[in-house]
Amino acid sequence: MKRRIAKQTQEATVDAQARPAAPGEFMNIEVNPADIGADLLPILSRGLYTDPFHAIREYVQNSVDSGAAVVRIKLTGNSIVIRDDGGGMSFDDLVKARRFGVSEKDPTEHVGFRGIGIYSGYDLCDRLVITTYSRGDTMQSVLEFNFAAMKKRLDADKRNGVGTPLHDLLKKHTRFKIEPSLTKIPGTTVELEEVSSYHIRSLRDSDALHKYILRNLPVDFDQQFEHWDTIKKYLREHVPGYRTVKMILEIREGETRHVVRPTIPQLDAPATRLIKAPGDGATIAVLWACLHKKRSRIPDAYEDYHGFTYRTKGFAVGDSGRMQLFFRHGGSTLYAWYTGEVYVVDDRVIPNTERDDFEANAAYDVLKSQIKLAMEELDDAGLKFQSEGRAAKKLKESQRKLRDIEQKVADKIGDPAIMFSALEDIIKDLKLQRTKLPAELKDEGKAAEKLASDLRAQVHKTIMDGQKRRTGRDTGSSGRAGGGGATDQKADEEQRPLRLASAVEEVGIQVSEPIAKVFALIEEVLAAVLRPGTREFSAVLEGIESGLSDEFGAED
Amino acid sequence: MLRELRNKKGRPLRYFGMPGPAIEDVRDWSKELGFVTAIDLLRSGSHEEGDRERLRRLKHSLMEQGIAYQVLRGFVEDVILRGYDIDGQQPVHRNERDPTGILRFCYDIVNLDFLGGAGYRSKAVTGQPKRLTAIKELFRRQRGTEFVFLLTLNVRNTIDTAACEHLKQWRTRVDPTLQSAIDWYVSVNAGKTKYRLKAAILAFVQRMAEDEGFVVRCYPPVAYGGTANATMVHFVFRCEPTLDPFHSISSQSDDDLVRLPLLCFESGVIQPELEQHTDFDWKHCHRAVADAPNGFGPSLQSFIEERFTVTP
Repeated sequence: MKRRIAKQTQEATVDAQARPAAPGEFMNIEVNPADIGADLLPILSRGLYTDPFHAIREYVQNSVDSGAAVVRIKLTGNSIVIRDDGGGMSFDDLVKARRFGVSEKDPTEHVGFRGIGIYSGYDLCDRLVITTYSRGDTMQSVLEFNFAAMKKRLDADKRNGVGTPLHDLLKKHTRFKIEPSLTKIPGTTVELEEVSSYHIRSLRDSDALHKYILRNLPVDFDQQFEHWDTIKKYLREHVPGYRTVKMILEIREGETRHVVRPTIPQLDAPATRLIKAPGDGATIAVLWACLHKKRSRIPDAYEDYHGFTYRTKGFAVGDSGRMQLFFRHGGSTLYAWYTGEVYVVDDRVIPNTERDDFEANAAYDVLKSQIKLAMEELDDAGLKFQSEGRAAKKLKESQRKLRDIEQKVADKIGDPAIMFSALEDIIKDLKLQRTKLPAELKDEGKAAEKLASDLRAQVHKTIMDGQKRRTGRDTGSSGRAGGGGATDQKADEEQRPLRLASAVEEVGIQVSEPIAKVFALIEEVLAAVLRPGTREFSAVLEGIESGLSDEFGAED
Repeated sequence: MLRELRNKKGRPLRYFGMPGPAIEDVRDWSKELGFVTAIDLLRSGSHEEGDRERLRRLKHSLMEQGIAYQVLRGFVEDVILRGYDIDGQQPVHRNERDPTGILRFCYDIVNLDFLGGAGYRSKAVTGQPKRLTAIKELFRRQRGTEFVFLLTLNVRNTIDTAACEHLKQWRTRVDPTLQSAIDWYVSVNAGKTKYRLKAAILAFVQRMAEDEGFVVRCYPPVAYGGTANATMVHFVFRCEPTLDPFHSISSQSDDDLVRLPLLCFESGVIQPELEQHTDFDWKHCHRAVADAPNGFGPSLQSFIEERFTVTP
C-alpha cells in the first residue's frame, strides 16, 4: 500500500519537462498544490491540540484578537458554541480565515498568528460552523467545515491508495454563504457540532474547564480582590494591548458561571517591576507579585495560583511551576508564598504552538536570565519576609511571657529566681530578633526590651532584698522576741526566693553567690520537671531540706 | 400577561417551545425570560442539511440574544411524550422527584408554534393524533406549575378528523341550547376549518387541563395567514394548578367557550371575524373579550360596539 501511495504521489508531482538542462546546476521546480497532502490536517490538529480544551482556547484566542470583551461558552446537546462580542469578520475575512497556516495577523498585536487555530476542532467534532457579522455589512457570513466528510474521504483515499491533496480536501468540504443578519450585532459564533462522545465527556466537566480557563485565558480579576485595580492599572500602563475578557460558562444544565480570578485572602500589596534587557534597557517583561500576608504558603485551595505564570497577550504559556527553580532557599518553599504573573512584552519571545513553552531563541534566553535575577530577588525578599514573620512571632511570644512575669511581680508571687532566669532568656531572644523585626514592629521590640530590663532589675532587687533579710534574721535570731514570731516566719517563707539556698543557710552553711546560682539552676530544672507550687515540687524541696537538716543540722 | 406572571412568580420565566431560528417570541419577551428550552427538528436524509442549518441559526440567535438556553433536537411531540430528545437530553427545568415517578416539567410558558416548521406526524398513538396526545401529556408533565400555554395550529393539518370527533363527543355533554352551535362547527366546509379548530381545541385543552388539575382561562383564538398562505389559528390559555387534587373546574363554562369569538389578524389589526357561528351573541362576546391579552380588550370591544351596535 505504502509503495502505491508513493508511486501515485510521484506521478502526480514530478513534471517530466522540469529536468536540469545540464549537470552540476541547481534549478527550481514548481510545487503543485497536490504536493501538499491532506494528512497534514489531522497530523497538526491531533498533534497540537491534544486536549479538547486547547481547541476552546484557540477559538477564544480568535475572539480576543477580534476585540471581544465578553466570550460565552455553551455546551448544549453534543455541541459546543462559543460566542463573542468582538468586531466579527467580513465575508472576505472569513474566506481568508479558512487558509491553512497562513495568517495576516501581526504577532505583536495578536495572540494567534499561525493560521491553524481554526482547524483545532478537526479532531473533536463532525462539523464546525462559524457565523459572523461585521459592523457595516448588509449580511452575516457563514463558513462551514465538514470535518466528518473530510475524515471519511481521507480514510477512503488511504484505503484506495490515493493521496489526498490538502487544497482539494478543503475546497470540497468547506462552504461559505451569506444570510441576513436578524440583529446586526457584531460578533462571531463558532459552533462545534456533533462533538465525539469521547471528547464531550471531557468538555462536560465544567469544573475542569473552569480551571483551565482561569489558568490559561485572560480572565478578569474578581473585584472583591483588594489589589485588582492596582495590578490592572500597572499592567494597562506597561503591557501593550493588555486586555481581559469576561468569560461566561454554561456547561452544566441550567448553570451559568461567570469566570473571574478568585480573591485570594490575605495578600500583601503587589510588588511590581519592569524586567529590562541588560543591553538596551528595553522592557522585555512586566511582573507583579503578591506575598501571602500570613507569611506562609498561599492556601492549597488556591494551589493553581502558587508562584508565577508567564503570559503573552494575557494567555498563559506553560504552567505555574516554570519559575520555581529560580527560588533557591529552603527547597523553593517560598515560591508558594507568592502569586503573580510575568507578562512577556518582548515580541521576539514567541510562545510555541502548544503554548507550554517559548520558542528557543536568544531573546528567550535573555528573558530567562533576567527573570532568574528577578525571581532570586523575590526569593530573598520572601526570605526576609519569612524571618520578619518569625521575629514577629517571637516578639509576640516574648511579650506574652513579659506580661505574665509583670503580673507576678505586681502580685508578688512566683519564684524570683525562675523569673530572673526567664527574663534573661527573653532579653537574649529580643536582642537576637532586634534586626530581623519588620519595621512596623521595631518600636514594639524596643519597648519589650526595656520592659524586660526593668523587670529583671526589679526581680534582682527582690532576690537581693531576700538575701539581706535572711542574713539579718540569722544574725539577730538570738535576740528575737518569741511573741509574733510565727506570723513573721510564715510571711518570710512565702517570700523566700531560694528555697535550696535558704535550706542550706538554715543549717548554718554560708551560700556564696555562684552556689546560689547553682541552686537556682537546680530549682529551675526541677521546676521544668515538676511544676512549682505542686505537692510533688514541695515534697522534693522539703525532702532536700530535711535531708540537709539531718546531715548538717544542730543537735537538739 | 407574561409580566404579570413574572411578578407573581418573582423570577424570570422559563420558556419551553419552538421559537424557530428567528426566535421572534423570545426577542419580544426577552425582558421577562430567564431560560429558554428551544426544540427544533433534526431529520435524516434530504431534510438533514436544512434542519442542521435551522438548528445552527437557532443557536446563533440564542447566543446573540445572550439568554440562557438549551436546544433539544427532535419533534416536540416526542420530547413531551418521552421526556427527552433524540440525544437523550431532558428539559432543564424538570422535577424528577415527583412521588408518582412521572418526570414533570416546570415551565412558565409553553409555546407550541407548529407554524415554526415542526412538521406534523400523523402517526397515531393511543388512537389519537400524536399532537393531541402530546398536548394531553404536556398537562400531565406540567402538573402543579402555573403556566401560559400558547398553541398555534395550521388548519391544513390532519387534526381535522379528530377535531370533528371531539366536537361530536362534546355535543353529548353540553346543554341542549349549545348543540346547534356545535353542529355548525362540525358541519362547516373545508374553507372554514379554522372555526372547527377554534371550537374543538378550546374544548379539548380545557378538558385535558382540568383532568390534570388545572383551572384554565381560554382567550379568544386568533386566525391569521401564515407562510405559504396557510391559515393558522393561535390559542392562548392561562393554566393555574388547583389545590384540590380531585376536582378542578374552570370558571369558563361550555357556554363561554362556545361563545368565545374567533378573532382574525389582518393588516396589523386584531378584530373579530365577521362571521361567527349561528346565533352568535355579540353582547356576550363583548363581555368575553374584555380581558383579552396584550391590552386588545378595549379596542375589540369598541369594534364590536361599532360594528354590531352592541351597547356596553
